[in-house]
Amino acid sequence: MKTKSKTIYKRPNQKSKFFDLLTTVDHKKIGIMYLYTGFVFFLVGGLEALLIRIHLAQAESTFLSAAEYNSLFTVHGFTMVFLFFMAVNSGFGNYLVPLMIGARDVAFPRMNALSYWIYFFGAVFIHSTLFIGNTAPPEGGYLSEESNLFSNAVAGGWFLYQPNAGIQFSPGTATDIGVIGIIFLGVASLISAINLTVTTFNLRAKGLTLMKLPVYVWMTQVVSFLLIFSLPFITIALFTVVVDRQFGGNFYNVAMGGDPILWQHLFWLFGHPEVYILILPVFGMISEIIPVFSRKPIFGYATLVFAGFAIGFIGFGVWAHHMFSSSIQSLAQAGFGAATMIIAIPTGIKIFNWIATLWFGKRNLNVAMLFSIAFIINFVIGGVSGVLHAVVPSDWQQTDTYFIIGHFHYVLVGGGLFGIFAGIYYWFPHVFGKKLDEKIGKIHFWILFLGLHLTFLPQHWLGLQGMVRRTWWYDKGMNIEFWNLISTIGSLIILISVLVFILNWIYSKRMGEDTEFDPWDGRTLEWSTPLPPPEYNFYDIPKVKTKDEFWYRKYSVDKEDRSISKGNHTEIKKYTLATTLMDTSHIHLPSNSLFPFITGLALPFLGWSLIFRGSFTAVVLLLIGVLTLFIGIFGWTLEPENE
Amino acid sequence: MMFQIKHEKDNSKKYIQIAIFLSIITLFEVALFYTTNFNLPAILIILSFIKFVIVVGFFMNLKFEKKLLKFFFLLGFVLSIPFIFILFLERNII
Amino acid sequence: MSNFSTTQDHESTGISNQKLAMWLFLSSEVVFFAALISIYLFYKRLFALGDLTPEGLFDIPFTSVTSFVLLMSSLTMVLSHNYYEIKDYEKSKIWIFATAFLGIVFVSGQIYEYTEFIQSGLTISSSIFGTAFFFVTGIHGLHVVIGVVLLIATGSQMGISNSNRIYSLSIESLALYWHCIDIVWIVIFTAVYLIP
Repeated sequence: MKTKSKTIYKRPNQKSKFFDLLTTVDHKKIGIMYLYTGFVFFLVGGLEALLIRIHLAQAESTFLSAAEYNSLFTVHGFTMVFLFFMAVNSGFGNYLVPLMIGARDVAFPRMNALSYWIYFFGAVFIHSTLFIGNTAPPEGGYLSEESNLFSNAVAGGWFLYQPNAGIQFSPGTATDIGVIGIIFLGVASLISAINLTVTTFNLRAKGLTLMKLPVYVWMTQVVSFLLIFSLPFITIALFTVVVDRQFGGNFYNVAMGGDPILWQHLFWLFGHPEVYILILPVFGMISEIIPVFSRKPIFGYATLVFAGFAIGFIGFGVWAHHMFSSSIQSLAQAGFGAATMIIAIPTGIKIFNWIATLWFGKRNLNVAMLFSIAFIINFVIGGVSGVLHAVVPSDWQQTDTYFIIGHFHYVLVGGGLFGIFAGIYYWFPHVFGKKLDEKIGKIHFWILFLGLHLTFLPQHWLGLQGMVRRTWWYDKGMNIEFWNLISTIGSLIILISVLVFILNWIYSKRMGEDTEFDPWDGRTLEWSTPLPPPEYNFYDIPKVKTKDEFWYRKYSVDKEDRSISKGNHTEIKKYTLATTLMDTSHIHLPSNSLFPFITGLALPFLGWSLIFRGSFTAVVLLLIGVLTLFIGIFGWTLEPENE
Repeated sequence: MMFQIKHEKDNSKKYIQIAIFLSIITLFEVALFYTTNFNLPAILIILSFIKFVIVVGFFMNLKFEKKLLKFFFLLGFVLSIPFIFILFLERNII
Repeated sequence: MSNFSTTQDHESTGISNQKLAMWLFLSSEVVFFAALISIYLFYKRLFALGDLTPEGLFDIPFTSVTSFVLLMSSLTMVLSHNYYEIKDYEKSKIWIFATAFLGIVFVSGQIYEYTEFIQSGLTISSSIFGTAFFFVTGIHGLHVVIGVVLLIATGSQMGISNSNRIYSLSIESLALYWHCIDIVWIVIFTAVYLIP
């Protein structure tokens, strides 16, 4: 079906690398952009954490002011959850899902680019809270001396409890910037979730039925569902806050009948699925890495997949376990406590599946594998403390103390970050055609492992000894200085490990061991391409007969289910590398487009125009925003499909 | 009431018939509202639900679509129920 | 609408990409509006306590008429899609503009209602009833406005070339969106206006 549409202009072709990045719709490039940007925010969030830890190393510390401290833990939360973790998950998901399902790209390539640019400009917008946000309109205007970096940024926790984060108790523009920024990021995630869902359901290679999909693709799919159904709650919640703060609304105005608990329900209805959104992709990555380095198929594929769905589904029924010390009724508390305990079961099933895969496997303890095994250990530790909070009266002691902080940093850092590093070490050869250095990698791993436990293990007993969270001051008389100091030392060790990693990255990109094809004897389809993959991914779209399709092209199975090499690895490699020289005229790829970038660019202007309402600047900002948005959307619709 | 909406065919008459049916229900709702009967909320909810289902089923064609789409749509409702339940619990409506 | 693979060389649900995407989006909207309406119902008890109450302010006959207008716009929408499917693009265009027109009538009715209420003293900040009412109906209204813009944009491009559309949003997806905001209004009208 030849389209002969009237083209007013052509789609951009990459004149320069920079312009290519601005206009790319290639899922791989977009994925890498997410990973790099996400990593930058990892460093920013890490710096914020270090400042907090340095402050807390001493009792009665004045290293930071109270205002600075409050802003720091708030921005640390926002940055790590939204700007780092979710971005990195998006990065891996965007890069891997089309490759794993035998597709050339996602279902809506320009929307994919739009998700990235909304994320990017949303992140820029949120960070403007450091520079132009204020906790009260200053005398000399927004860029006067009274605004300095952290003392006037959004404060009040990433969970923005109302009415504390409302206009009366958190005046000024700082909080609004945070609130509106998160709304933008939510839109980006929703678009991405819909995009990946349609991709997974509709663009699979021939023969790749749903129960042959890699576990990673399934986990990403559960995450997409979680996003689709939990983002509405946070969007509505944030809208109510904007109405209260900007338009004098009464949703959380107690004097007029407002109820602060409404915010907590709405927020945690998103907030809890959010933590599964963070960790499920990591579960998926581990489920890919462990089988490869155990040279065994994943144990209990179907149970892993269904456990993932169970976690996602039950995850919508446990949110109020973040609210046990609020005014919700006992019956509700008991219900949520029970549901929280139940959700530990599918999670535990996964742990057993991973251990069973490792057991009796021919294990290769390289760096990716070390991170994966440590992931299991750390996540179990974090999970155990989590189950302790599920007991309601127990949680009444633990909540709002460092015990909770210990819990979620074990699962998010000990689990999440370790899993992310496992993924980086595993897929780095795929993206760059070189391996990360193993020796430096092992140093990176052990330093991080030490740093993690030193930082977060003491926080458990610090919490039980009464150290309260989100508080900048603790008295000398509390006798908790020693372990706080240890925890701070641990955080500095984490810093060192990150520096070692950066060193490894820079070193390996130049001098790393070259790999053109399948360095790990992989099982899934993404390893069937030359490395780095060509823009079109697969020369011929693979035809799939089984789970772990790529593995079974290289290996057959004997009567005892053991894999026997077909001896054809060199042949497959030769053919695959040869395809890079063959004629690609039968392959059609989506063309670049500038409009996702332009549409994303409009958002900060619109956000600022709302916040600085009433001034002339705001009108100018609004006009710029509306014009840019109009050009972006209108241009997009007029753009020819493909050149 | 067996409505077969066949694609590639002109179904405009059928859609108009459905719209007339919806109008009748609406008229009935308004009439009920003014002749205030017993249990007005329940009846109104039921009638609105019927209109809802008809528009979703026939105008949005969900009755004839693949199961997957029905599943997603329904999932939206199912996942809203805990929230609605908790809010009603808070206000002692239930 | 996949640009880079030939038909049936891959596993698929058999549902077009855009339709699947729109249904997923609408499933999200279901949760969105369910939460929205629930917030209104959560605070409903308090509304009768202020000076300005729903009973005192609402003009049910008027809102019934505008609601009916929106309901009929679903008919015009489905007719537009119907004629598009049988390739009668002239008729399809007429009905899509009819839908946009009815949408504008609905929004105008809402604006009139808003001005009446504001003149009586009900604003977003005057009471919790005001906040909740304007929030629920306003967010719905914004969705209608976006829908009208999409309808006009799609309708005006329908006339240009009848071989292949260069707009991205198909009539089918647009129709689904429009029907969704109609059914949401059915629920809002019942929950906000009709139920005492």
